[in-house]
Amino acid sequence: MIHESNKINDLVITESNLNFEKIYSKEYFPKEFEEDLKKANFLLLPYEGVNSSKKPVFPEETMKFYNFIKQYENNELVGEICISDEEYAELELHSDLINLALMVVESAVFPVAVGLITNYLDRKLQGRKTGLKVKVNMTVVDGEKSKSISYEGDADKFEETIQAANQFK
Amino acid sequence: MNINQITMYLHQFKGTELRSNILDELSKLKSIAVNQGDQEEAKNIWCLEQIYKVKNHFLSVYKNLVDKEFFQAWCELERADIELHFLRMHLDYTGNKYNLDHIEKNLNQLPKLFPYKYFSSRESIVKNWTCSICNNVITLRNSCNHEVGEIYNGEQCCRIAGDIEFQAVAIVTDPFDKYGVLFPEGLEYNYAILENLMQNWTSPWEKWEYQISRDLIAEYNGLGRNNLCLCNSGIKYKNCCLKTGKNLHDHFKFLFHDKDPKDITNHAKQTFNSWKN
Repeated sequence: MIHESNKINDLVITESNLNFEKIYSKEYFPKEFEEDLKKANFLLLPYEGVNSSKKPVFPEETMKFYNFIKQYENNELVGEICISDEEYAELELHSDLINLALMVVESAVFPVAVGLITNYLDRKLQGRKTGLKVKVNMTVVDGEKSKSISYEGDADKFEETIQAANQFK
Repeated sequence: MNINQITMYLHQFKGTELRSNILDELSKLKSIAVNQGDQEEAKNIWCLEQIYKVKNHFLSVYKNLVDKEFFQAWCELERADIELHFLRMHLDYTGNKYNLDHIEKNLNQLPKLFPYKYFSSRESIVKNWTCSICNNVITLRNSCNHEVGEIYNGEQCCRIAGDIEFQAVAIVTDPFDKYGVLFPEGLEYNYAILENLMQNWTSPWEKWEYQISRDLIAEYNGLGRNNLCLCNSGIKYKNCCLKTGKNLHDHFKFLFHDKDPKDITNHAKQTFNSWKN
């Protein structure tokens, strides 16, 4: 995982073949929470193969992000995290950059998810005297099709950059 | 000292050494407040403790700069910044209350004058967290009710990481914590900009600021646009360093608005690299 960024508002959108069904068959998918996770339309996923132990890991502060999602007041968005409590681990990189967990979202709630992420980043920006770099990777699933979105750059330019792309309305 | 006296002392303090017993006194006062169930007073005392720590670290920064202990000054800067960050969400200090605006400005300005560019960054996997307030193990789906950053019984809540698996060390330019400065063998950092500053910065409470302009590197002076570039690229100056800006360097100018001009040591323009050798 790259530690740093000098990007301002880099957005890359590519075709993807990831969907919710494929996630349900992942080795790390927690069977004990299957019912809850299958109701979710916004899932946090771990990164795989980024450390020597090869175990799935989440970026640091994902637990905080997950708690933020659970407390976010919105009737449409159902957020969950795709890991058991026992298997949950964070990879700390100690760079002044926020890596959010991989996200998979249904296209219908994509605007809500962007609003949620923007709110979370706004909170992170509060209390800081300098800007904040962020990496956001999400897959938007629309039926059989899906697109992967990678944003890297200033936290305060995330929302406007995504909206300017105008691809998911 | 009672709480009002300590508050006034910290607000008005403009010396070079804080009284060493203040934290002990605040600790006793906080115990009383907690025992009385006065959470608001306990939080107020926590804020005073933080103010003391921020000021104390800032004074250490200044003292270390005077003593030319630059790396130690750097570490104290980082510590002051962290303590101020903890305080910021709980105390409105606009209007330079407790001189915190002044300190904050210095904490912003000073790091840019250090020659450090590369840092080591630890990479590790953390699998276990406990709450610093209740000591309960925190898992994804089972957390206590204590919120990270909030103050409970006069203590700030944080998560204590455990079961840490070290992975690697990376070299980065913008680490989260700034202590891991690299000191390459055979190279010596050049602190000339800080040394110049300290010739005129005569008190930690004296105001100063700097301006940075982008000036032409002397060697490029008079070089024609169509001449070959001085960097030996083999292409014309206008298509090379003139275009990329590599013909320019940062020029720091220190400004002391409240100082009598005759007390200022002026310097002819000097150029420095990050390294002495």
